[in-house]
Amino acid sequence: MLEIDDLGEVVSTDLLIIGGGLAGLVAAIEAKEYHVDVLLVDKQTIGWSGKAPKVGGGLWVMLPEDDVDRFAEYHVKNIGCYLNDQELLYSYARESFGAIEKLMKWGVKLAKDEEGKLQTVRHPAGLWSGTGIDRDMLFPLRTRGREMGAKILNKVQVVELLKQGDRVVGAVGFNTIDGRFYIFKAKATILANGGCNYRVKRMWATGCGDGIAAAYRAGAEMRNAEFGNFFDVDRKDIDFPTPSGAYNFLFNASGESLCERYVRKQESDTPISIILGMEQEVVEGRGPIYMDPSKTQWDPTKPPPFFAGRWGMPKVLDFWRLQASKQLKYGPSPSPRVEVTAALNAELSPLKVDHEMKTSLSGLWAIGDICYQGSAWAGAVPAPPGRLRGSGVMNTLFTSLRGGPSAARFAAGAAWPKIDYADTQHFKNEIFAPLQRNKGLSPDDAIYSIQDVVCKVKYNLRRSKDRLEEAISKIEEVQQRLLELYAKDGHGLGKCHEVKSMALCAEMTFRAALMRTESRGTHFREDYPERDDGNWLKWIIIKQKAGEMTLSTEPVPMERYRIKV
Amino acid sequence: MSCVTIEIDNDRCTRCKTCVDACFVDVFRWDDKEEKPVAAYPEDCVWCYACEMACPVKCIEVHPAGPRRIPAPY
Repeated sequence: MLEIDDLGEVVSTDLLIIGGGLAGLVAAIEAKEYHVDVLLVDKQTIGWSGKAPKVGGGLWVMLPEDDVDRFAEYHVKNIGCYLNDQELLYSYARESFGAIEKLMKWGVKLAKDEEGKLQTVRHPAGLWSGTGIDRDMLFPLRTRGREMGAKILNKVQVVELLKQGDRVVGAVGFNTIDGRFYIFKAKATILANGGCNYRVKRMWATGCGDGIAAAYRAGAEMRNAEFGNFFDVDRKDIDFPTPSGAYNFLFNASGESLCERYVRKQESDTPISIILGMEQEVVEGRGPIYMDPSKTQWDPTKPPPFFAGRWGMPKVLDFWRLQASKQLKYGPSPSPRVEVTAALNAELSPLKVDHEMKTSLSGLWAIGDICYQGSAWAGAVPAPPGRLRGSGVMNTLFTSLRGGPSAARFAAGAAWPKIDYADTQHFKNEIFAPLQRNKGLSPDDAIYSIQDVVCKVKYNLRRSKDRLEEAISKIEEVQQRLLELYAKDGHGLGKCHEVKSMALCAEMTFRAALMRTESRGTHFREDYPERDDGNWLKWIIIKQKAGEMTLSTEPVPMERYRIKV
Repeated sequence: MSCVTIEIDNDRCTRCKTCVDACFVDVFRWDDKEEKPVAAYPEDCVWCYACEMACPVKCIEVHPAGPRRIPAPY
């Protein structure tokens, strides 16, 4: 008889958590309270992996004395543009301070004064606050998770979810070092492996949409994919976003101010109009675009003033000190003007979840960056950070503190599933196929081809029917060549699967953007420049049916919500 | 093409493997035969400097050497 064990290493666990960054570790700690077996799997090394520990720093919070109603109203009207799940938005705001208290209890270093009092800064809008979190946040969480009995498996890249009927019952993947095939059998599964960043931003390069793509192929629904298009103003010399507000100090080759020419209203984050203006200036021959760095109060040869050591976050300070010393050593000489560019910061996070972070598939939950947009609390924005700086980490805490216990309760009461031999064998063959080829499409070239579409302002921000159709056809060209991807080792094999995930994510974004015939939030259609509340107070839902990407709409239940149009 | 050069001083390296763990884009690998870390995939380095900061004896230096290969936005 054919046995699953013959195909690879079989690992059984009550609860499988895919991704061991901040979301996965928080969920693991919470889940262990329910006395279930928990296994965390990550394609890199848990403690270091994920996005949150790369830079550390800003963390959005509402303090107990803050007015949740005023914040929610501001968010719905100005940021989420009425596509928020308002009930979840209220919960997000109300539960944020409790999340901070949990982190402090678990030994994570937050911004504090010498007497140990939490330090916060009021946002200029006066409706919320920010605090700081140190870069080594994952170590105390990893220690706590291990002490509670959570198991950890590093260097395993999960590619597909396993199903029994409509229920997700685990996953399969491979070890990127030794190539071993892993079959995870689980009563409940949580996806915590990030959004899709298309490898465009240095510090967040691991978010390639692996979990989004796996969930999509398993039949899970997506929501708000059209808003995966966060563009910011980046410094070219350090390949890094400019400080918040720097867009006010941009000028063209003739020294003319872009802000005066293009920005008509202030937005909660870098205005879309300034990015469109940068493109227009360059296309019409008035580029390149420069910034006056003296106006931004941040000299990259020194740590930024916000983190200059006064708040007791030593690892954040180390990071900025090293960045500054590298800039002094390798960067250009200080100049009254530095060249800047419009840069896609991504993110795409469309996996649809309910208020307990359950996806539309039984047995599958999603937490952290993978479902920021799909949970819909933030509405019509690319996320993280969803045009609310510091909310990426808070969204992760909020969703993990809800999703971890919910999945654990399900696992505690669920029966052991069966793993299908034929499905598993099929996945194994597909996963390792690129290693059988030694020529064809290199994953690096494929990634560049995808980036060359998603990074272009003309496709991903200044959208129109014609240009979106052109973008889709360019992504389809890559997809038609996916069977030519080749790899010579586990590292390259990992990239091949990231290419497939990124292509799917790009297709979702452009197809949803083509369907939404209006402009709202960060979705701007040149051919439909106005917001259309009569027709578009709807979420676009994406789902795979019979191998095809299908799109439908779901009305936003405004009758249930407090903040009306 | 790599946008960095990564220098490891093997005389000072204590073989603790922290750099291999710290790299979140799988640039570092452990060479079992030579018993030392190697920058196996420098082309994927995003100069986050996690390896440099994590190294307990500071025997790694990442030298940025040109822009990453990312398409222009317009």
